[in-house]
Amino acid sequence: MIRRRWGQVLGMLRGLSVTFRVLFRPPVTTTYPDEKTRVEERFKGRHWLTRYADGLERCIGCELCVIVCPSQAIFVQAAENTPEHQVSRGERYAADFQINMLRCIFCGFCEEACPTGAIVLGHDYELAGYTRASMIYTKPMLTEPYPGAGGRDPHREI
Amino acid sequence: MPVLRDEARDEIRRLPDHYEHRQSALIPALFVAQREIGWLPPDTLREVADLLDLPSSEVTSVASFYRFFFLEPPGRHLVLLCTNLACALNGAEHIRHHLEARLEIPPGQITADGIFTFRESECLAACYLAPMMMVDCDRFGPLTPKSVDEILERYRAR
Amino acid sequence: MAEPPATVTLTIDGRAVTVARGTTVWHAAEQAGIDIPIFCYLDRMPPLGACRQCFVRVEKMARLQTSCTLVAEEGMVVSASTPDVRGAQERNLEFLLINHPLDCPICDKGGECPLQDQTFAYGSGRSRFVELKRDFAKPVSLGSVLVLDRERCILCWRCVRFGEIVAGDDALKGFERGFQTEINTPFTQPVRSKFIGNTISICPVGALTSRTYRFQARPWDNDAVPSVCNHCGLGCTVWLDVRDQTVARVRPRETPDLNDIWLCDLGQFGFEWLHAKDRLTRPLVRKNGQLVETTWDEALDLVAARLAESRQRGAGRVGVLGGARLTNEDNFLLRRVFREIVGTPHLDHRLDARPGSASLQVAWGLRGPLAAIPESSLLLLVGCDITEEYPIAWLRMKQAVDHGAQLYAIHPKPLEIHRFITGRLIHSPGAEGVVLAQIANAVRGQKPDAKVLQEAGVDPAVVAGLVARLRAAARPMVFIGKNALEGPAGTTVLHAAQRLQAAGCMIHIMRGKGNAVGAALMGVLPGPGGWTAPEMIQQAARGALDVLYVLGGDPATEVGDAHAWAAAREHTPLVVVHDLFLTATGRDADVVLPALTYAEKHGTVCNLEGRVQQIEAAVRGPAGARGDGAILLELAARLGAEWSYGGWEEIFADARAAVPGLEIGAFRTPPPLQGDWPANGALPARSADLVLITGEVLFDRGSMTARSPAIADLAGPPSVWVHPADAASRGLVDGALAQLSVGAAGLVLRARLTEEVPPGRVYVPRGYDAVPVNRLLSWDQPLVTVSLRAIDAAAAAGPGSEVAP
Repeated sequence: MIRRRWGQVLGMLRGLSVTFRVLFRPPVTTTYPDEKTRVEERFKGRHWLTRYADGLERCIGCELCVIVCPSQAIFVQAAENTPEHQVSRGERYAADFQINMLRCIFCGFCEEACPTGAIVLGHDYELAGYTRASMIYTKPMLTEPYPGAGGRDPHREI
Repeated sequence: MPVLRDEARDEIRRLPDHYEHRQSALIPALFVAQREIGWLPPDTLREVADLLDLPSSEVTSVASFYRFFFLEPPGRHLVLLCTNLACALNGAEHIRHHLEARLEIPPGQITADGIFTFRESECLAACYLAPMMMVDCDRFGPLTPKSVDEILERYRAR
Repeated sequence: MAEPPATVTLTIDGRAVTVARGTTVWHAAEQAGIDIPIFCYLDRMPPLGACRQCFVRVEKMARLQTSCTLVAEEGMVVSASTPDVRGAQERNLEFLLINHPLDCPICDKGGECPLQDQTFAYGSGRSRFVELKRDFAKPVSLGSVLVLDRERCILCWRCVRFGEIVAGDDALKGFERGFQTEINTPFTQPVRSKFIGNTISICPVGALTSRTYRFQARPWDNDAVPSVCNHCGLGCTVWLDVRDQTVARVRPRETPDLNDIWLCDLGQFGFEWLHAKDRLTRPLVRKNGQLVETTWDEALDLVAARLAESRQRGAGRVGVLGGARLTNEDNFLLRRVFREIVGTPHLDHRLDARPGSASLQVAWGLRGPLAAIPESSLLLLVGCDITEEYPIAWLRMKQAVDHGAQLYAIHPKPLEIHRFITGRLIHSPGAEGVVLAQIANAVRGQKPDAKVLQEAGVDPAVVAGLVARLRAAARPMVFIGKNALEGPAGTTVLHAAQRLQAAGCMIHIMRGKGNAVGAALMGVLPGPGGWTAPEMIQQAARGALDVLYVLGGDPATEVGDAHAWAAAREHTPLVVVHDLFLTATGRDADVVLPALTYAEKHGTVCNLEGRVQQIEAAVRGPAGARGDGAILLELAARLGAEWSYGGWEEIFADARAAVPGLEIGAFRTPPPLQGDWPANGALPARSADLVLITGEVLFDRGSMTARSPAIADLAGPPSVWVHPADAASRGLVDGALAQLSVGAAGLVLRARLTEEVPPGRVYVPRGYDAVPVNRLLSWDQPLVTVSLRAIDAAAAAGPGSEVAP
């Protein structure tokens, strides 16, 4: 009888040992939103339209991302560069570029399809808004303010 | 507005009589026009087209095809260097480099002093002279850098 | 010797294929459903064998053969997919691509490019070419509509051969040779063609692209809506490619017996007006002398009240002008509203006709199908500038000429297609009736009067040649154009034409734009006791009308006498206009109602052949504008009619009940000429002054074309064509400003020195709304003599301004 009780206490202590061991370890949870979750290098979050080092936009408005997008979240309207208004290299640039973040499933096909590495999926995952309209990201929102601002290397392995 | 003399215009007008198709008279007509003016300015090409009742685009197209028609004013002398098989095997490449250095222009251009038009040519039917060149209507070969210099000097003086 | 059998049987990839003798191996494979890649060959033109892509292996033939040039023979054994053939196709693609820049992401052809598709299907995906590619300046703009990229070109020669074989304008050519060969215009000048848009559609790569469509959309963005072009009267079938409620481009829609796969440049590039910023969106009503915006209810109530008022004063005090821009259904409602409810017989769509002109006395249209033109061995144009007025019909005529047909033109000036004309009959203005009468007489055995012909300005020898050929010709055709019908000799021309018809000629009345034939079919013509359009205008000037109702037309610029229209406007208490833009007529109207275009409506239209075709609404149109039919139904309701139509189909069904044979796809061919027209054998008096001749041009600056930047650009500034000799005596140089005056009226135009107009005449293209030539014309005087003088550029405000003499 006593032996059986003793066995139960031992079992309980054995279980508690895990509890006590973990109790003094640093916690694995993060105090979001005070603290951000660390994401992996290849994490696919908010899109950026990147620039070359000289400031010209990489996007040439080819619409390959539009046709590849499985959720039809992207709209592009291209236009022609002029010497006075040179936006990207070559003849063509995206005059308008919109991504509907509510539709996007962050599959990353757009950056795979992009021939110039213009569109990259960054690490920002905090995508919420109060209206549907606010979730359609426009070209000024998507374009890097300065080269490299998106924080992703357009040449990295996808 | 006619540029050619009336005699030349009449000569061109009569040319189609010799041929089954009007088009066949085009090359002889271009030679007549070039003989008159020395080269074939756009107005003259249009005039030839009107005289033969051919589209002026066709006249210009044919004139641009043949190396003996000049769509720009040529130099005083025409240097044609053969680069076909027999000459190539006998070192036409070497002669071309030499000519380029002496005339200070690549093939297809006119020397700065306006004396020579330098062009590469297909076979000039003098393979026994290979490597050979033709200046105006005279053939020279086998060429060496030294003989090229002499020939150029002779024509420069003329 | 026995006739060889009409068919041959050959084996392609192990399958027995029987085809007509003379078929090429490529076509035989196509008929058997075997795909052989190809670039240079287009079945509208003879094979060339330039691209070397269509290689096949034929047993017992030493080398691979190009299947597009190889005629199928009995017992041939062809393989199109063996490894050696596939290998050759793969290597050929590698060759074609060595100089191709592969800039597909920025190329407008991307997504609909045969080179892309075939590389995907047959290419290796790798290139061993590491050397430098050909380098050209790019992109090169060849005029207002065409963009050239020579790096992308694979030298298939389709565009060059199109200009030589199909259009006959030789617009693009190959220059230089060997690896330096390039397609271009002479000296990279702007391209001069009326059909260059077709080279864009047949280019198998992105070397030729459209300026208006440049970077506008990808093929996957567009919804293609079938429609019918509404510019000239031929009603070519088109696709309207719509992206986000905007027509991004217009493409030819294949209809083999109409426009085939072609379209003229006006049809292809003249669409930007659809989305012009100044489209009318709200009804306008004149209040205290000003046109002010108002509501539909107010405008319609006003119009309905005035129509009802007029009805009470008596029938026949309302006139209706226009209808050619409307659908059949709109025209049917137009007729019903005004004949049945308002009770007026005065309806006419022919608002640009002269009083008593021949146009008003004959049914417009072709008396046979367009596709029959190539079967004719003699074509006679009478006052019909075919490339300017009905360009797609010219392509058929070019086919006839290529088959050996003779082409003659009776015209007061040389035509653009003069190289293809067997005999020019350039007559003095107004003499076309006499010339045609002489020809008709001669065909029936009378000897032509050489003296009269010479006085008319034509060569009797050419007439004799024409007459001899007319007698012997197979299915001769005569095309009578607006210039002849509206000229002083219009009825003489019809009289002579009727006699030629009796001698076996088919007579075509080449008159009418848009849906003019449909308007006539639907009864937008004077009813019993009704006035024709010019009579209405004359009566209105006498105050005989309470209301003039104008639909989709601009009488102020289109009526051949600006003063007559001005008087009509002045003496009519209410002028109502349906239009897309505020035209000259609209600016002076009392009520202007914003209407919809053909691209915004469902319905049917008829072309000059009487062919009934369906159109679909491609875009919604500006908010606030309404279709003409919808406006008419609203008016009908306000005037007490209880009609209910659930859609265009129901209106069409009613129209079919009224017009037998009106079926989509059917032909309502107009009857042969039948009439009693007065003939006048007298030649017009000769004049020592310059005689003004006018004519339609394909590219002008009318209410629609002026709002299509590409077309307005092709049209150039309003001009007067002067023979260099006439210009020299007046001190005029090419491009200078010139004042053209008739009495007190004058116009300032750019002088264009050209031998395309004979000495003693000046030619002014119609259709420039800013400088309407009808200000110089008068109904009383069919032939107008003008004075022309150079003016100081500084003194004038520019071309288009009116200067008091």
